[in-house]
Amino acid sequence: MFNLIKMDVYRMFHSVSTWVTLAFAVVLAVFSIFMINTDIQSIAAEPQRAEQVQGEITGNEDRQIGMSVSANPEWVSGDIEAGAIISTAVKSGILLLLCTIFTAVFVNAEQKNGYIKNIAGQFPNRGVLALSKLIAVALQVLLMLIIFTLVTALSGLILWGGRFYLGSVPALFKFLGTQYLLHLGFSALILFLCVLTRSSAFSMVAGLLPCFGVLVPFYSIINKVVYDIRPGWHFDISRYMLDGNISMAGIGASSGVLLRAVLVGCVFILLSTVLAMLILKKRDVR
Amino acid sequence: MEYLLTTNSLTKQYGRHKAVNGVSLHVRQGDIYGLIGRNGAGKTTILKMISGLAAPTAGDFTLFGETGKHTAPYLSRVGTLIETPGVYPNMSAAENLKIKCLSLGVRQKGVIDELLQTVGLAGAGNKKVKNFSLGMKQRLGIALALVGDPDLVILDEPINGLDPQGIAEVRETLFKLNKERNITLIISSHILEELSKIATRYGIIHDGVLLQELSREELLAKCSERIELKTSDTRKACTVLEGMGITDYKVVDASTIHIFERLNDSGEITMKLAENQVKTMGIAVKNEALEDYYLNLTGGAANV
Repeated sequence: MFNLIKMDVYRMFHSVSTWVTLAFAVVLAVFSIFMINTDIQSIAAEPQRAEQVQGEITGNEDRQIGMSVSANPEWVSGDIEAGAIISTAVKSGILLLLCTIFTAVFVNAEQKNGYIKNIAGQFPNRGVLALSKLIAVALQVLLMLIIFTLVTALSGLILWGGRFYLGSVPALFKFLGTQYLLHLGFSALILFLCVLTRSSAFSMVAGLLPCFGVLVPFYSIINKVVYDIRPGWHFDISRYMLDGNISMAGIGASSGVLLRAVLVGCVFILLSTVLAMLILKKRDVR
Repeated sequence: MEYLLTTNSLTKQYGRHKAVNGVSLHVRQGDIYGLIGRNGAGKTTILKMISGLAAPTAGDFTLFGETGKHTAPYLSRVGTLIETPGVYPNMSAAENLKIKCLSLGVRQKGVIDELLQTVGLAGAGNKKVKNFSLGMKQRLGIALALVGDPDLVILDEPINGLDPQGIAEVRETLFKLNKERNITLIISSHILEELSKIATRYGIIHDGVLLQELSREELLAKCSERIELKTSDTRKACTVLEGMGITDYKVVDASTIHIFERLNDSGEITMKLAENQVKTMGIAVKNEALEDYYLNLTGGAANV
């Protein structure tokens, strides 16, 4: 098992996809900051927009289709907390997009080029091939999150100078830890889909849809059906889904929301990995 | 342990179709075993099962004296190249080998250079595989199969797509591995002529069924030039032949004798038989090419 982990980590650092996604993490972090800054400038130019944006931030918890970062009106003239900016950028799903692409490309490469046939026979419990891949993916997700966070913070510092401050470090770490588990859970789900379908295209598309919030209308339908059956039960399926929790578990979220997000992340990691391992073990290698 | 590998009525079924049907192969230590069959005959499926890549629907195999689930620890002593070589195109040949070495915990220094040298890719270690020719990829695939010093190497169509020079080089490499490292090889191919230059034992498979298993000598005997004598009394005919000093002959069935010497003396043989009141029903010099032998066995050219 240890040998397989070493193999996959070696492959990860020698894959083009690893460095491309890390480069995109840098570019998208800078892009997010510029988008937030553009939003701040537009609120400053049209003060009436501030009320509308404030309403979106505090009053309306419904997610919208698409990917967006929005500025807090308080940032127009006040200080800007690094954690809040990082939270806004991570919650937008930009990093999730990169996790999906990397996992689909990395996990499926072995199947696509047939390298799996060189090694699978020599491991009677082929399931470990999925586990070693998850560990390599976990390392890459961690690297992406760290780089994205650092570049976001650095870009904020360059752009806003003295107005930009670090804020609560423990809260930032709690937020990043929670988001890491959620992003890893999502990557584990993509890994499972790759193993199940042997298709990187399908897995990538299936992963990108939640990133862009395309599943939100389906969640609404499920919520409505559940409401019709049990009106007294305030059920919201997005609370138990990875994409829903990624958008909810911000830096200011309550402990309850963060705890639920951690649990959802862990359940998805565990379930997806176990299922992927079982499929690899039971199914013939093509 | 007489055999390094035996398959015991190995069967693989996909839906209603039996891709492999009750195949029992016998591979000795040091053999170069040629598995011959046309495309779709079931060669790859058999090789996948004995490589641990696919589970048999029925039957099992004995590897290094262990059968069924007990073979699992010994599968690490089996190197495989199934179908096309599985390689990372954006990585170099050395990196591809390094990945396999890491997976098997092979840490010897210089092992990658040695493997590249063995397969004739010494100068191409740092070249990206996407820039390799088909022959180079095929040789890299063989090098990958050799990682970890396996005792048994399974090569599925290793000469597919190679030019004549490439085929000769691969053949030479395999021959060297067998002689110098005592590696047992199982090689599948649909080109009998090529396999006949290297294999020491053959398994002929058709429509998932093993038609015949024979040694190199047996195959050559079957395909060599001979006089085919049809007679009413083979026993008496044999006495006459021996009286003429002919000893290299074989009684094939109740009315047929194959004579492998004095091929120009069919007239004299006929006369001698007549003198001894043995009726000759037919006599002809026959020569069956390997390919013809294979085609006849598998049901004629229509099957190719």
